[in-house]
Amino acid sequence: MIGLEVVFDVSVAVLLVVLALESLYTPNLFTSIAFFIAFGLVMALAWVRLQAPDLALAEAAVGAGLTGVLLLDAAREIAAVRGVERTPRSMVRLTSLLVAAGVGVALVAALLEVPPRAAGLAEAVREALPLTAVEHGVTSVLLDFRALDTFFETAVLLLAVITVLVLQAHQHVRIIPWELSASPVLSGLVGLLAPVVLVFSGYLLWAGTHAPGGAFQAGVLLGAGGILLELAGVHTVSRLPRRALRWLLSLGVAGFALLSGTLLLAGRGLLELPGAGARTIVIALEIAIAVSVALTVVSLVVGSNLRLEPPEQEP
Amino acid sequence: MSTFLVVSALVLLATIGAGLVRVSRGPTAADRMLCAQLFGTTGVAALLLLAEAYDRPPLRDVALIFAILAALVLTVFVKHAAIHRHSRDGA
Amino acid sequence: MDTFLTFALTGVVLFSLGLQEVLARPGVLRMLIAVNVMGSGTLLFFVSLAHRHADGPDPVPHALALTGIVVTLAATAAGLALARGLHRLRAEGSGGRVEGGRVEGGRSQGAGYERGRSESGRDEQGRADR
Repeated sequence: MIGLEVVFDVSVAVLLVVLALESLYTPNLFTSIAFFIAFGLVMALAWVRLQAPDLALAEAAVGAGLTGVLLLDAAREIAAVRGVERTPRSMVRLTSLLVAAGVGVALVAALLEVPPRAAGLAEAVREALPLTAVEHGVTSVLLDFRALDTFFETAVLLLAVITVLVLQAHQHVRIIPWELSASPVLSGLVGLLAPVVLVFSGYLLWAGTHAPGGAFQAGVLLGAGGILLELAGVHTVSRLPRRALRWLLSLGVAGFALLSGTLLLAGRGLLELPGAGARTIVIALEIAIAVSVALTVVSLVVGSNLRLEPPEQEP
Repeated sequence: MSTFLVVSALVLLATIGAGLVRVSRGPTAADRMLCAQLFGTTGVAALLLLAEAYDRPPLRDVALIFAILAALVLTVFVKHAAIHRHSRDGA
Repeated sequence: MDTFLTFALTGVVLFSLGLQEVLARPGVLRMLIAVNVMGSGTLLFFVSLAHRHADGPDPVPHALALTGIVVTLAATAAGLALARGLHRLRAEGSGGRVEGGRVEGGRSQGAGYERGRSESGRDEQGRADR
C-alpha cells in the first residue's frame, strides 16, 4: 500500500514536470496554453496528495479554468495563435540555462538540509483552534490568526482589478466581442450550470467554517459562473452601474478596514476579534470577501475584453 | 478494495500521459483543446476514486468544480473559433 | 522517497524551468506562463514543507498558498491586460487609427515605443508577437 502511494506521487510529479516542459518549450503558443491548462489540472491532484484540499479546490477553479481563459483571450488578441517558431539567441539560452540550473542545485542542497519531520505550526493551530470562531484550520488562519495577511491580499486583488479596469477604460476600440452570438446550446448549458454554480459556491462558503472551502474558493467559483453568464450574453456584472461595481469590488477591503477601525476605537488590537460575536464577524467577512473576489474575477477576465457601460448609465 | 481504487486512479493518470501525445501532435487546435478538456474528465474520475480510497469527502467537491468549470474553457475556445471562422468567411 | 520529498523536488524543478524561460526573454505571454509555472513550483515546495508532520499537515502554509493562488491569478490578469494595452497602443501607432482626443497621449507613447524598437533591433517585434 505504501509502495502504491509512492508510485502515485512520482507519477503525478513526472506528469507535472512533463506538462511544464511542454507548455514552456512547445513552439506553438496555443498548444502551450492547452498544456498549461492540463498542468493546472494535475497541480490539483498534487495538492490532493499533499493533503491540501483547500488548495485543490482553488486550483481546480483557477489553474484549470480561469488562467486558461485569460491566456486564450490574450493570445487571440496579441498573437496569431498559429505556430511561430522561436529563435532564441544561443548566448541568452545558455546563460539562462546556467543560472536556472545553479538556482535549482542550490535549492536542492537547501532541501537536503531541511529536517524530514517537523511539526511546523500544526500543533499551535490545533491548540488554539477552540479559541477561534471557526472549526477549520485553514479558515481560522485566514480570518483570525493571520487576518492581516488576508486584509492585504484583498487589497492586492483590488489593485489588480483597478489596473485592468483603468487600462480598459482608455481603450477606444472594442476589438473582441466577448459574448457569443445567441446560441441555444450555450444558453441551455449556462441555464443548467448557473444555478448549480450559485448553490455550490454558497455551499463552499458555508463549508469553510468547518471543512475545506471558504471565501476564496467560493468567490472564484462564483466568478467563473459570472463569466459563463457573460459569455452567454446575460450581462450581470458588465451592466452593473459603475459606482455600484466599485463599491462591490472593494467590499472585502472595506469590510476589513471597517472592522479594524472599529476594533481599534474600541480599544482592542488591530483585528483582535472579540470573543462574543466573533463567529458572526468572521462569516460576514467571508461573505464580503467572496462577493468582492467573485466580482474581481469577472472584471479581470471580462474587463479587458469589453468596455463597461458608459457613464451615462450611472444613476 | 482501497488498493484496487488507487490502482484504477493510477491507470487514469497513465491515460493522461498517453493523451499528451494527442495534445502535442494535434493536428488542429480543436484536437488539442478537446484532449486537454478530457484530462479534466479523467481528473474527475481520479478524484472520485481517491475520495473513496482515502475516505476524504472534500475531494468530491474538487471533482464537482472540475466538472462544472470544464465548460468554461471550452466555451471560450469555441467562441474564438467561431469568431475566427466568421471573420474568415466574411473576408 | 516520501510525499514531502517528491513534491519538494518537483517544486524545485518547476521553479528552475520557469526561471530559465523567464530569463531567456520569450514573448510576453510565454513569460507569464513561465511565471505561473515558477509560482506553482514555489507553492508546491512551500506546501510540501507543511506535509512533514505525522498527524495532519500544517494549515498555515496552506492558507498562505491559497492566497498565493488567487494573487497569481490577479497578477496574471493584470500582466495580460498590460500586454494587451501595449499591443493596442502599438497597433494604433503603426496603423494611424485615432478615435477621439484622449488617444493623443497614448499615441505619442506608441510612437516613442516605435522609435525604441527601431533602435534596439528587429527581434523585439518578433518576440513580443509570440
